[in-house]
Amino acid sequence: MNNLQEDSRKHVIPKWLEYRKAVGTRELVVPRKIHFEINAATKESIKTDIEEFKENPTSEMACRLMGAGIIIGDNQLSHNMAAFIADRGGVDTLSIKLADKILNVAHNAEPVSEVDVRISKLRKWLLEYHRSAIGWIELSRAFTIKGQKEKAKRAAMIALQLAPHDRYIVRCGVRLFLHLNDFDRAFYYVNKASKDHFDPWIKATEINVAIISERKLPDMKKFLPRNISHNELFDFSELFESSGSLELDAGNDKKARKQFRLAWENPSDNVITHAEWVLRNRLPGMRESTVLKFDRSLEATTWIKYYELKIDEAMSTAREWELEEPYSTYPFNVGSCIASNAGRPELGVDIAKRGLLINPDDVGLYNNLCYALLRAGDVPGASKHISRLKIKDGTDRDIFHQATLGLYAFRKNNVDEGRQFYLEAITRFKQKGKPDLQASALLNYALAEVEARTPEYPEIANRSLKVTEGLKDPNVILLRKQLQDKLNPLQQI
Amino acid sequence: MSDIPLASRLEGLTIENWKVVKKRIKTIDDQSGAFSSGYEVQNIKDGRFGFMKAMNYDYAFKVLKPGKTSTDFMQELTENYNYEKELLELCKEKRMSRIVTAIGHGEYRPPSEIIPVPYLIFEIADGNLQKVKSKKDLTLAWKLGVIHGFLVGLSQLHRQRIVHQDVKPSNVLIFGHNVSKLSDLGNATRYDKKSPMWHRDCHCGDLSYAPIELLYSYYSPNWDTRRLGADLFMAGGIITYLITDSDFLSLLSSNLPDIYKPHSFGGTFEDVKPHIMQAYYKTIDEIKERIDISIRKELIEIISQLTHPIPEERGLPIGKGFYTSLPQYSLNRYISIIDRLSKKYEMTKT
Repeated sequence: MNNLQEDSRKHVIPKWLEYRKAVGTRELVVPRKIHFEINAATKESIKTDIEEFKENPTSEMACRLMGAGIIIGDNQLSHNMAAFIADRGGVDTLSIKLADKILNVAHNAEPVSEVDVRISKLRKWLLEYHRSAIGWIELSRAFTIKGQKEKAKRAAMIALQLAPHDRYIVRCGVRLFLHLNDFDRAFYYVNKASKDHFDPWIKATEINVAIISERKLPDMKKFLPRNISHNELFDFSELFESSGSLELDAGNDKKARKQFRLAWENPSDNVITHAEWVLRNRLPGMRESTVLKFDRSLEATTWIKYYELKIDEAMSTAREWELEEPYSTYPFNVGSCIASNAGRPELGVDIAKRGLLINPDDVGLYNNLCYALLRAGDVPGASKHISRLKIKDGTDRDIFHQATLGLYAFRKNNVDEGRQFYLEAITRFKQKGKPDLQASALLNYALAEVEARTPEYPEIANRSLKVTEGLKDPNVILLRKQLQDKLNPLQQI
Repeated sequence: MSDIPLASRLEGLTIENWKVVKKRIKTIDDQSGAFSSGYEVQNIKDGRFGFMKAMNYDYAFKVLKPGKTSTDFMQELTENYNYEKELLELCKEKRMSRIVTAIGHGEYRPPSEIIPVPYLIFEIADGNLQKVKSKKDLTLAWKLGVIHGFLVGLSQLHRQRIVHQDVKPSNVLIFGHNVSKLSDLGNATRYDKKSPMWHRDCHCGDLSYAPIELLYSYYSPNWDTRRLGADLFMAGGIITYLITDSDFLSLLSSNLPDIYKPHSFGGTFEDVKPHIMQAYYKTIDEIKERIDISIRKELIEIISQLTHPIPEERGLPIGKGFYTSLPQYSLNRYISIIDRLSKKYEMTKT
């Protein structure tokens, strides 16, 4: 099983939502500072037409006024006129469709289509409107979901060429290149976007890409305003969050807390996701005094539910998260881990397989798949993929592979080999000072011993339960429960 | 002296050779503007009817903006009136057949009054496009005829380096069956002699038909791009209106996500371009479906070129695999195509 508290989540990375969802978030909003002014000619013309409409209400005039309402932002006017048109008809279908859209009649909503259908539609669209930056980035997203990385990359690069400074396009493009581990390209585009004009959202992304790609960081002070209103804090929340994160890494906890407090005053959804990670992994002491709407982030909510051991809720939120960020391996990783740890390995298999459809080369997902298959007793199924788990350079990932290989060996009745793998994994987690991971490996090892009914299992299982007693990590708690459940009937015999 | 301004009580009088028959309640059907009153008039010599636009200075003073003296304001109104009058005279001199020209003008001031009433008299139409359209079941041939007419009118203005800047359905007047003419030069301006009301570069007539860039306070420093481009956008808006009953700008705005709509977006035109382009493509795609298949390809091309949201790219796509000796904002090609489509449509229907 993988490490769910991945360090890669310690960065403030934008989410790549599809366009129609993204425009509904506050992230892309650039509020007007000056009131939108309508000139006298427009006021007079609308007033005259309203009077004319009152005298002689026709659908044609309603169309005119509905349009004027949309343009000048008079929602009441456009709504009233749309209602009139919807009732009376007598105008072109397109105007009726527009009226329905204003009245929120459902048939206007574009149906959610399968990714293949979406790709085909987007390709057709782009054949006609090849300068649609939004179209290209949407196509890139669809290709990413299909796991067609090269095509996704090409489409994103066209979008970035067409709209190199647009907040949505740049942040989506960067998210893709980070997903593909193409850090240089991610930095190139975000740096290019922020060179000419300052946008706190793009700057925050640039700083995080610089951190990930181990580049020299600019002086954060230059970008963080001193006196800032509550509303402005929202736009700067990712910058303050990133600054807090850097301070934390530098060991300056006091300054980090100060920056986090600022970021959390009016946070973006990404900041909420990151805040949950910080509170869970780095500054748990701040949790009590922090008031954040975690339900704005599916990732944060999944974790909170998981830590509260509300497994069903955690699983259903993880599923929503999968749908929101289908290009990412992380929701699949977390979902399959939770399912397997909660004793639902079949579900873990399904989730890992879904993730592999999108990311067919992700070794972490293969590890989860093998683990879930082995826990579900499908050794032949695991055999098909086990060769993908390589032990290379002593990273955390290797240790997880080692543990899974240990379970595989147990299932193949190679108990000695299995023990060797497990014990090595446990030792290495201990050496790395990761008690929760050490405990998880130990409990998994004990489970393998119990399931293999080795002569040593009672002692190993009881010792594992004793050693891991009191640990709060949900993986440990759930694995302990699994072990206890397996052990109880055996002890009664 | 009566409390009612003189310009509002001309009914029954005879001014020069014109008998003031009936006062018109201000409707979309006239071109009387904000500070004027409209009357139906009849020439006592030849019996022809006309429409009188009488400047209502009294009313204008009532809505005087703070900080502006009445003398300045009076001067401003007079300058505007004279400017429009001169433009109309030029149109007449240049025989602009598709522009509603003045058939009379003058100033009325009885001895008892201090403030005069300058007036303009125009040929009277059967109605404006908006009104006529709601009454009749119109054929595509009729619509193409109307498009042809007002495009010719606009082109006649452009040839003299005059821009209309308020092209909208109520300013397209219909005479007889489908002879369309452009009316109301109240917002028009000339390249070499700027209208006195054009002290701001972003000025235009009715914003609810204006080119999209003006709603984001973007105006090109180049006169042709800024002014001719604006007229082209509004012309595309009318063609769209004839097909879909909605103006192009309304459809375009409805396809923009709320956060990018002009009344809510605080960024620059440059910032919003990718989103406007997306909405533009969507709008073009929707309109295309509503055009008769026999003329769809050509007409959607015209609409898309006239309404391109980026003024620098509006008009003829010169240098994009398209060669012509015509200038980018010339309407000649569009007029020829509409003429051809009109004939083509007639042929397919017979």
